[in-house]
Order: sequence, then structure tokens, then C-alpha cells
Amino acid sequence: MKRLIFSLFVLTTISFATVTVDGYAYLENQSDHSGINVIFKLHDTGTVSDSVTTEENGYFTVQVETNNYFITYEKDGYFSEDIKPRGTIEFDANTTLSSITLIKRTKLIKFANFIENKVVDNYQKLNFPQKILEKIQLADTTSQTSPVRHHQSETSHPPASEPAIRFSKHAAPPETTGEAGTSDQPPASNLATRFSKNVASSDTMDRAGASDQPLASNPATRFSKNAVPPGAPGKTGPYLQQTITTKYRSTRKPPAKTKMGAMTRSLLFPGLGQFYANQRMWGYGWIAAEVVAGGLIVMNYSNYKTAYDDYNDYHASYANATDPVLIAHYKTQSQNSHENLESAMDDMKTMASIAGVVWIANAVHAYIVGPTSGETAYNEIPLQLAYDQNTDQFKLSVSIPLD
Amino acid sequence: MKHVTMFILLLLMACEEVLKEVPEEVYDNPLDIEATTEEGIETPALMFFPDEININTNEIFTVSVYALDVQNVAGAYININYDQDKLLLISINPGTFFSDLQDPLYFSETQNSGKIELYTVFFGADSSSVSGTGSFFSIMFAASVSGASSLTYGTDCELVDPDDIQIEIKGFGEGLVNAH
Repeated sequence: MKRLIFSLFVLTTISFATVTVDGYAYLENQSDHSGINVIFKLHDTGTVSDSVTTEENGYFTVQVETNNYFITYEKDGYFSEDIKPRGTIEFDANTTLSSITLIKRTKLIKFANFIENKVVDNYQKLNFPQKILEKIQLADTTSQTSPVRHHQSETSHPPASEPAIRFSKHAAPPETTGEAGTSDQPPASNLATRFSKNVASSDTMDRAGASDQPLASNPATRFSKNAVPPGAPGKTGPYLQQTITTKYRSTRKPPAKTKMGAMTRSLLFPGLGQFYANQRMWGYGWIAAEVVAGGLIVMNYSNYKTAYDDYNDYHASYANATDPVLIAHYKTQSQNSHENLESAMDDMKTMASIAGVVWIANAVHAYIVGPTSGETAYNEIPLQLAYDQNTDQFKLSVSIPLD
Repeated sequence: MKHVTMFILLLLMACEEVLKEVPEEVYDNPLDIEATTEEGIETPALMFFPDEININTNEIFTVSVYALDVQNVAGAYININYDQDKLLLISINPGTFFSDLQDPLYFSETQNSGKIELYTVFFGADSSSVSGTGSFFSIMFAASVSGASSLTYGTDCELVDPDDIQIEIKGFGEGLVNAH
């Protein structure tokens, strides 16, 4: 009986033994590191069992029961961080946790975070990733790297071994890569995660940075978020810089080309609607026709103005003349000028009518050759190849615009 | 579409603005025989030149007394009426019609009653006369008050040839003065 009681006592003691857990948590680019909440959640139930707040120097300490925990570092305005690996650790003795640095939120990171959360939520809820993934196009890492986010982590920070960027959790500077591989970093097999959070060492990043392609181990990914260590091409030296190459294309498509759009443009300027409808030769032709008509109008207008000025001069001379001979002379000249004036005006009207007809004909032509409603300005081939981790298969998606 | 319609309307209005600039052909010189004939004034006639005067109040202007399309004129009596309440006679000067002739005489009578009587005669060699169109006198007025007033010839005006035979005056022009 005594042995039984002793055994129960020992088991109870062991079961409810407490350990001291301490460590440091820092805020990026801050001297005051207080206020970071370190939250301990039970691995089994997910309930919060303990929490502690860091001091000004970032130190924290807490007594927790021996158990398996998720540990999360949180502070408003900063990205929360989970302890590595995979945010869980079992304490059976006093433990000093690895230091961690929380990264300040920025607009770009917020945006990227929003996209990630959106995709993850829909992916998990619907189990139908295409709907979301169609809205977020496959990262074309061969074309551009924007948006690019450069993080600068002070190297003077004490054990700044964890850059702790949300999209590049496995990023590490070259000198810490090996260490990370044995301690905090996930195994190599984890490199190909859902969102392709790639670890790139200096040698591999040369290749990835130059071509901006995802790593060969993860060829089919929707996102390519590459952490770039210092020393990578085009990056500044002593700072840890990370590049997020998440290409996001707005779901709002360019407005569809219409016949009315072509006609409207041609009404505004001859040939514009034809250019809009990709009928460039017609466009140049209509412009040339209108230029010729316009030139003739200008020429006739010049004649008109000349005759107009002559008429005014001769008429003024006629009105002021008192000599019958001069009166007759100026009257004749004035009448001739007026005839020229009317002739030039008639010509100008004719040419203006022709130009107007050409203009209207050009608009009608633009309407006729205008794009059909099925043709849009969205000229990309609507085929996408993606890897679905749920089914462990490659999937081909085809989108057909219905506008 | 509304903007396009407005654009076209503006374009047409601009064209219309240009097109309506064609001036009307008007020939109204009072010494133009064709023009005066069209207005119903036959020649020979006595005319004012200019026949329409637009001036500001207290401004001085000159109007000439013209014989239009006359033949063999050697002397003239010209009677002119004006509104003395609106026009102030400044001076009377001889014209050029007889300037080529020898020693023409000019007389004028003004009684401050709105009436001017002018006489001119040429006493030269026998059978000397002038023909055509020319001015007998230049009269200088000032507009004393604003308003419209007219200059008219009296019906007793006379033109005579060297033989003192009266030449029929078939037409009389009028002068219009608009003082602002």
C-alpha cells in the first residue's frame, strides 16, 4: 500500500512538476522590447495555459507545467511568430528559448499576408483551390519580382538568428544556414510547402536571383516567395534582405472592346477606332483621307481669308472715294473680291462636307470592323497549370471569359 | 455618347461661326451714280458726302456739298437746312469743283436759323464751265447735343450754265448725323 501511495505521489509530482522557461524576444529596429506577449498553449487542447510579457530588454521568464506547448510571440503592429519548429515544444526541464525578433507590419506585408490568409482560408474551407487560385495568377518569376519587400534586420541585435518574416520563415543568412538546418530550420523536405517558402543559400540564390525562378525542388507552386540572403545580386551588403515575389493580378479585367467603343473613338478622331480594332492600315488610311480633306479646307480657308481682306480693303476705299473714276474702280475690285470670297466659301463648304462625310464614314467603318463582343483586351492564354497538394496531382485550369 | 454629341455640335457651331462671316455686299457711296440711281436719286443731283456721320457729342465733323453728274455748271445757289438745336455751324470753306477755274467767287449767308445759303460763281472766259462730280463747299459742324439730325437741301437750289440758264436738279441727297 505504501508503495502504491509512494508511486502515486511520484507520478503526481512528475505529472504536475513545473519548469522555468525564459528567453529573449525583440522588436525589429526598436530599443524598447517590452510588451511582447509570449503565449503558451497546450498542444493537446489548444487552450492558453500561460502567458508572459517581455521586459524592456526583451527578457521574459515563466513557470509552466511540464507539457507540450505551442508558443506564440505576439505584439500589436508586428507579425506574430511561433516558436520553431512548427510552433510546439515540450518542456520537461528548465529551458531557455531561442531569441526571436518580431517584424513590424507594413502595407506590403499586410497585403501579402491578406492574400495568404485569403488563399489559405478558402483552400481549407472549400477544398477547391482553383477558385481562389484562378484569381491569383501563377507567379511568373521569369518576368518580374515586384512587389519586392526589403527587410533590414540589424545585425547588432543579439542573437538575430531568426529573421522571422512571415513569408520567409525559413530564410536565413548564409552564415546561419547550416546552423538553422540543425536547430530551428525545418528539414529539407519542408522546403516545398504550400506557398513555396523557399530557403535559398547563397549559391542557390545566385541562380534563383538571376533567373527569379523557383527552386527546382519545387517546380509547381502558386507562389514563389524567395528569401534572399545578403550578397545576392543587386542587393545591399551588410543587411539581411528578403525578396517576396508574389505576383498578384487584379481580378478586374480590362474593359472589353466593343463596336461602339471603336465608333466612339473614330468619332473623336478619324482612324482611332480602327487602331482600337487592330485595323492599323485602315486607321492610317482614314487619317490620311481626313488630313487631305483638312488640308483642302485649310487651303480654301486661306483663299477665303485673302478674299475677305481684299474685299474689306476695296470696300473701305470705295466708301471713302469721291472721285467717280476711283469709285468705279474700287467698286469693281470690291465686287471681284466678293466673288472670290463667295467662291472660296463655297469650296470650303464643299470640302467641309466631304471631310464630314469622310469622318462619318470612318466612324461607320470603325463600327463595322470593330471588335466583336467576344474579343477582349485580355489577351493572355487562359490556361494555367497548378499543383494541388490535396490530391498530389497537377491540374490544368481553363478560364473562359464570358464577357 | 453625350460627350461625342456635344463635341460634334461644338464643331458644327464653330463651322457655322466661320461660315457666317461672309459680309453682305453693300455699295452705298453717295457719289456712286449707280448706287444713287438704285436708291431713286436721279442725276444731276446735289449730295452730301459723307451722307451718314456718326460722332460723339461736341465732336467736329465736315460734310461736303457735292454736285453729282452735272454738265456745264458755271454757278450755283445752294440752300441747306440743319437742326440748329443739335448742330453748331463752325465754318464754311470752298470746295474743289471750281478750283481749276479762274477766280471763282464764294458767298455764304448764315442767320443762325438753321439755314445756310451758299453762292458760288465763276467769272472767267466765255463758255467756261465744269462737268461731272465735285464739291462746291465744305461745311464744318459740331454736334452740340446727342441725337440724330439731318441735313437737307432746300428746293430752291439752282445750278446754272455759263449762259445763266438753269440746270435742272433731279435729285437731292440727305445727310444724317448721329451724335452719341
